[in-house]
Amino acid sequence: MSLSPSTSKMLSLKSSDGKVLEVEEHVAVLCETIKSLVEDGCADSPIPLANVDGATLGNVMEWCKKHADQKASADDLEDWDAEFVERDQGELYHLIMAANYLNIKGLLDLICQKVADMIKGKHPEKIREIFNIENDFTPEQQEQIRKDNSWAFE
Amino acid sequence: MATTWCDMPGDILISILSRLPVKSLVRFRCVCKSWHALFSDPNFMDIHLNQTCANNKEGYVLIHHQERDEDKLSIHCDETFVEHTVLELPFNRSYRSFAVEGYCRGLLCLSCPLILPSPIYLWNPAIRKLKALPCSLSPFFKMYIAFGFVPQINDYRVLKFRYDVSSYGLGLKVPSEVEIYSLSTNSWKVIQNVVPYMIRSCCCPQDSVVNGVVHWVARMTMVHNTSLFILSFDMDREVFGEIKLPECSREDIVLEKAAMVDSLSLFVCSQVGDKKRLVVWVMKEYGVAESWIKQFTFDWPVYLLSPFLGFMKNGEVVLRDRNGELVLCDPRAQQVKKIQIRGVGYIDIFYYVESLVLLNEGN
Repeated sequence: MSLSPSTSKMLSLKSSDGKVLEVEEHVAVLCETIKSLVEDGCADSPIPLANVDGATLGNVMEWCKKHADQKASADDLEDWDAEFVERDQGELYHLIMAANYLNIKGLLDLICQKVADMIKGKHPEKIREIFNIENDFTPEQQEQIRKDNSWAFE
Repeated sequence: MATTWCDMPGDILISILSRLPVKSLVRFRCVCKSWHALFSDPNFMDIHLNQTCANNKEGYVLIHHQERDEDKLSIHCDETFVEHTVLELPFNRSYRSFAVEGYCRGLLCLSCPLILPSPIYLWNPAIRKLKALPCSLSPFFKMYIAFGFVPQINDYRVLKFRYDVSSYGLGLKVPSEVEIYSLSTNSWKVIQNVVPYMIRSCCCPQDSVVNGVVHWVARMTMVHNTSLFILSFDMDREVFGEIKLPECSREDIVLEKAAMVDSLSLFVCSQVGDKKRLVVWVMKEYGVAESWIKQFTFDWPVYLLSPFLGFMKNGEVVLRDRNGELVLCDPRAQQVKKIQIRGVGYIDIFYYVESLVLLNEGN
């Protein structure tokens, strides 16, 4: 089956909150999940995406559209991606979950890197707050780890 | 919003955490017990190391040389050679001099040749962990050490030879006893079936470990006029092997070092008229003698000293001129440029990447 832009038809994608998005097939198939459906001839219209809300789906397709553009240079994409990930934690979280569900490796890598860059300088307390992690160390254990690795807290 | 992040699938969390610098991970060890355990897990260390290598847009080299009679270890950009960090040595001041016996995956193997028998250490400068290896089974006087990672068993191993002093001569030494150390068991064991090989004394195996196999240039003992070959020792199967050298005139050519790029490679140096000729051979398919190919030939003026120091990722070769200054030689452009680092005596250069190896070891 040819998936080249010239022969691309439109696919309808339906988000978890019932919004329907019309997307060119050659853009949508950047999602491996959708690509398998198309290749197996199971791409019913509209394709229900039960795990992705409408706003997130719009953002994901915006990314796919840019990355499906054959004319975009590597530098251009890098700059565009850097701007694309300038979002709050909530949006990043939804994008990560959507990229994982739709199986878009490039987008997943991009957001994971963004989150890593965001948290790398933070204190452990802040990390627990962000990831909602309970501190299961005793104060003594905690102090010992800090003492043994004091250089990493400078 | 804060409540949602905890629902993330484990592999996504690992993907995020594996992109963090080593220092952040060490700090985040006190976040919770499961993170503490995760960062010490050899599989996570692997994922993290692979991610770090894939992400590194800038490469770094670790340089060991002597400055004002003291050993110095510093990290430099691999293109400009601008100094990035000077590493704080893990020894007290009385250990003025040490030898870097090998490097792999963020881990250095060090010895102190001035102390007999010399202690051996594994050191990960990125997480400031130093591990003294246990005393070996027989305290060797003259030692010969190789260090490498064995991917098949995910273990780090140190190989130690004892020289048979009576066999010195012709620049060759016969290993009369071999011991191998495993980091996973933290113990030494003696290899029984030592074969009568003579190893070139000038040949240092620092960079010659490919897929857990160490390589030296050697010849058979007791048989004069036998040709040189590459002696290998598989640190997983613990057996010696032999690999044929490429077809090159053995009479005029000095084999300097079997070094590693991605495959086993050889640096061959010879005098041609008033110039020195450097030929680099690469074995395209490991263990197959027919796959040796001549990677490049480079003629340089005699004012350059011959010792080969290392290959850069862009194909350039690091050499040293007669004033002790390091130079980069570009075999494609047939050009030489200085890199503003000077050192008499030994110089070691390794590609450097930060890793978590030894994190679960005590201090």
